[in-house]
Amino acid sequence: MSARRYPVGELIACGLLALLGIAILIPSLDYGLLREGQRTGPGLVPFAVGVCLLLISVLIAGQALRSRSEQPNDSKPRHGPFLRASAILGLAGLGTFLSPRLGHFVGFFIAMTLMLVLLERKRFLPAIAFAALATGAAWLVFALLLNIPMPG
Amino acid sequence: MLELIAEGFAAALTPQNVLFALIGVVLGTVIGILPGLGSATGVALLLPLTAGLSPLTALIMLAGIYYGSQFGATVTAVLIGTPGEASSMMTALDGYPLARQGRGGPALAMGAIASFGSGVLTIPLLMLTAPSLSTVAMRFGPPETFALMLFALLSVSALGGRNTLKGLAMALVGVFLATIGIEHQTGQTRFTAGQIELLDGVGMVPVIIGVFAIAEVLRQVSLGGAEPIKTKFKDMLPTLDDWRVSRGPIARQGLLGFLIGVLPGAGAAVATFFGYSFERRKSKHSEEFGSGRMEGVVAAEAANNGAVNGSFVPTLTLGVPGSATTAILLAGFLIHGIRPGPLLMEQEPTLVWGLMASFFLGNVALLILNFPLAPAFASLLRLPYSYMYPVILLLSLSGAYAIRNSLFDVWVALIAGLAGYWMNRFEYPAAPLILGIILGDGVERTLGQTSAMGSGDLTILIQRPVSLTLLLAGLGTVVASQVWRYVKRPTKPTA
Repeated sequence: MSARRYPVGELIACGLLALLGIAILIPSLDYGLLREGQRTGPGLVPFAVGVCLLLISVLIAGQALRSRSEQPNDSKPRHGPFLRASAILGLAGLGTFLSPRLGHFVGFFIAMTLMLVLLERKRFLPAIAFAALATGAAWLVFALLLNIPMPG
Repeated sequence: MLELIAEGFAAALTPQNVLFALIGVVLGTVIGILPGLGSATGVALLLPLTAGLSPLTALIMLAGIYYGSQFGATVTAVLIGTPGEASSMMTALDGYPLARQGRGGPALAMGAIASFGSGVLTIPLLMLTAPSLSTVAMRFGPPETFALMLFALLSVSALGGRNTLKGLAMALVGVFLATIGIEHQTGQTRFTAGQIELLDGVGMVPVIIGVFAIAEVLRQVSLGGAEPIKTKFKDMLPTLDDWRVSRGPIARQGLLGFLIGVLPGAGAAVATFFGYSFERRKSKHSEEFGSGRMEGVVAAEAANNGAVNGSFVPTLTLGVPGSATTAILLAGFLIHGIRPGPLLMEQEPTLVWGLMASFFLGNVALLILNFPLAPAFASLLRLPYSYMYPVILLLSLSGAYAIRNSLFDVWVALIAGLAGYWMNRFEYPAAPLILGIILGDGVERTLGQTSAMGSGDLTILIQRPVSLTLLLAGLGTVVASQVWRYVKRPTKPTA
């Protein structure tokens, strides 16, 4: 059995755009749309952007509703890929969080090792060796050769 | 003039200068390969290395660094879909899909050839037209520059993706991001939410790294990880067909890029957007752009190099830098006691013509070094993706930090990565977002100047023929793209 399915994700994306439009529009009024002599003020461009975003989000939502796809209603959304992407983003965030505490390269060495061992199912020692090699090379270029003061 | 050009080549082509040009290209390529560290940062980081050299040798080395870092940014754009800087973004659109199809070598090699071809075409133009073009460019006032930027935003939004409205929405979000921080004319802080880091605005490079590099890693991983490339080494060389389809775009976009580069404030990124859009519209296979067309890569690269050469026109003749990198090069000139401006060509003819000749030398050095290395670079994709993506993340986030020594920028890159992942999923194009960030500040500034010129009356925009034409062209592009999509929409089968 198949039925026309609402593009929920598309509509949420439009809702977020509309919210962003409103979030831009309201403070821009406080910044002032015009200055003395009717010249453009600091709020004019953000105000125009907010209004346009609001209008466009409504138009995109309309488009999405008009082009509802013929898909079976019982098709279940797949969460696996999103969870995997979230785990990687989370580990990159962990590396960033550890960066000022343990040092940039130590933080990312830990994050890389965890990515290789937990997500990619690599054996522990090769994973550590590869992460050490990669972070060592990055340290060589950024910290030693380019003399960039990395955190930590 | 021919005598001066010959004199310039004679001054540039000494063994010592050739050696420093090669060293500059190698160092620039290494820096350019690191995500986030584009040509501006590359030149700034390596500027101290030129201390102690004679002015001409120093400038030649700087030119080598500049061209090398431009090509380095192309390498990452093609191989891992991460543009090292905004001007490499359009290269990534087709270069990366080509690399995933096992054609990274030809894409890099043709990119190097496009840069070289464009350089060969536009450096003589730079030599011949610099004095006269600079006066034309200076007549391009705020209304015209505003209209040009608006035209760029509208046309890229209309042509950059499958849905014009989504493209426009992303361009608007980009313009909004550009307004965050202190407004230049009044000193008003906007949308900072009390964050000191946001006073300087949202960094463009961390956003680029996020929506391209990190989003691509997340996309690939959620798809199960890209397969390693198994292409043989000989297949990583360009084919005759690659040469055939590339000739026209190289010539056209080299010239167009040069003309756009001459305009103050337009820059190489705008030139690559225009060049790519132009070739896409012109092509019989326009629907395949974005999924791996060689014309897309060469158009973007030729436009980029053409614009780089064009941006030297106002830099050398007026002392007005045409881009961020030429601004740093200008600083390099000043360090070595050279003050670019209208009198430079009269007072230091050997130096100016030697420098222009050195641009040619830099392009030759780039081709000699990087054309044979292209297949070797592309071989990196033989690594399994499960090992590649942690390294991409490490380098990308380190690059995001290095640009302003700010951990805040690393978080911005991660948030932009998540946003980019969702944008990709719902087909919101990234290119208009980046162009919005690049041009947002300029759009607002030139609108303010236009308003001041007209004492608050913006009808000045439609009273001047060039700005009116550009505004109409921008609107026309949006309307035409909508009509074209309506005409080409699939018709429903009749029962």
